[in-house]
Amino acid sequence: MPRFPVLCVFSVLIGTLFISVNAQAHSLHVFAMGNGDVIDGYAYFGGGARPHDAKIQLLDDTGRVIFAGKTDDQGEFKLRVSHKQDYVIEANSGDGHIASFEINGDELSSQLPSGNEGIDVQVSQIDTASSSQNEKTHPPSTIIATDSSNTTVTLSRDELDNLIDAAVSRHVRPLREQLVAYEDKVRFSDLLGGIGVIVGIFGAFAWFRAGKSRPDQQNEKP
Amino acid sequence: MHIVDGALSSEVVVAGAVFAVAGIGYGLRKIDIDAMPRVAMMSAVFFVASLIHVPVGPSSAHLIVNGLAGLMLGWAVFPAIFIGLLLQAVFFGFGGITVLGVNTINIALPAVLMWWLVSPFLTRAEGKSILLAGFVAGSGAIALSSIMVGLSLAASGQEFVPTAKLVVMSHIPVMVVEGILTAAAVHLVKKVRPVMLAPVGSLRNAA
Repeated sequence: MPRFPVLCVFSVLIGTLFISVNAQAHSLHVFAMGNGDVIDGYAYFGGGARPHDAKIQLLDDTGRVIFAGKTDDQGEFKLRVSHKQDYVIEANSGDGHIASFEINGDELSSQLPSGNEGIDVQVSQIDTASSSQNEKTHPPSTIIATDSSNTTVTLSRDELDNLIDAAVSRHVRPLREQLVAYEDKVRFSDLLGGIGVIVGIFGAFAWFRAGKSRPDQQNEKP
Repeated sequence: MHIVDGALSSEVVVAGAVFAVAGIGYGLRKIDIDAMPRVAMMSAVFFVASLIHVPVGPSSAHLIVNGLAGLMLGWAVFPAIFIGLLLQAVFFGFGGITVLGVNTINIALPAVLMWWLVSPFLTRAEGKSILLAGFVAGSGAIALSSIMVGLSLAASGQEFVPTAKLVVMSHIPVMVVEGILTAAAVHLVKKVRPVMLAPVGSLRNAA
């Protein structure tokens, strides 16, 4: 074989390798987290693009579909649930891509009644655009009773729990997003491993074929 | 382009697997010892190229290079694509194990079809018409693959027209890029080593 074309092909191959180090597979992912009585999250394609109006389904811990809806233009969704249990959120972009994500019941507020089998869980979708402001202003106005004489704030145990939950989940969220993104990432070592396996498979196949189809020719060689 | 586990009905999955096994079996018989490195290389190129990912509008797309693989491999494209898909599913959870058959058919069959249509023309073509043939093979294979993805989803209960539209639309940029890439690659191969474009099985006869 002449050396030039082989060299060309290899340089192209190696070139593509370096491009794809930071690339991600074309695949749909969904991320969600429980916060109080709300499950919010978003669907996204590998690489960061968001699907518009992807279908989403919420499944309870028995695998029953308890809610079906759509994401907004940003690929985001927000669901209010009535019971505390494990959920699975499933997104479908309609072109053969489906993704699912488990939401641990512990992420939801401990004041929700725990859902057992057979209980009808009420789920309602909240408009992601309008609710973000309400969420923030709503709790302080009703839960916190402020003593006007000095700045001490009295809270019941439940209210304190809620506040701590909200604060922790706010800080943990970016970390979890980062973890999930890291898992989805196509890694250079995996790519190299894949190429190695391909070479190996066809090498083994060639060896098998060579031994089978040309035993006489091999014997003729010195 | 890669349908994932759970998106298809079991009838489609089984039918896809049966056809894929037939295609792979036929393709394997076409591979002779001289063509082996070529098949392995195109399999590796497919494996890597499908992981390069470009965000396009609301969706994202990646190269598939099935047109080029088809021109270089003929029927042997079936095992090449299958191995690539298998490793993508195992390493990256890209596609899925149960839908391997359907995905193999969706990607390899258009490649074979393009090879069958374009290859006779390509052996005689010179100059600019090589580029044209390469472009047609590259973009045509993607277009056919997209339609087949639409068909497989339609056979599983989704409405065909909107689904196919969605898949084809999101692959239009890929068609253009892939057409240009295939044209350039075919032009190069034709110049420096035309025997690589000969059908896989015929190498033995030529030698």
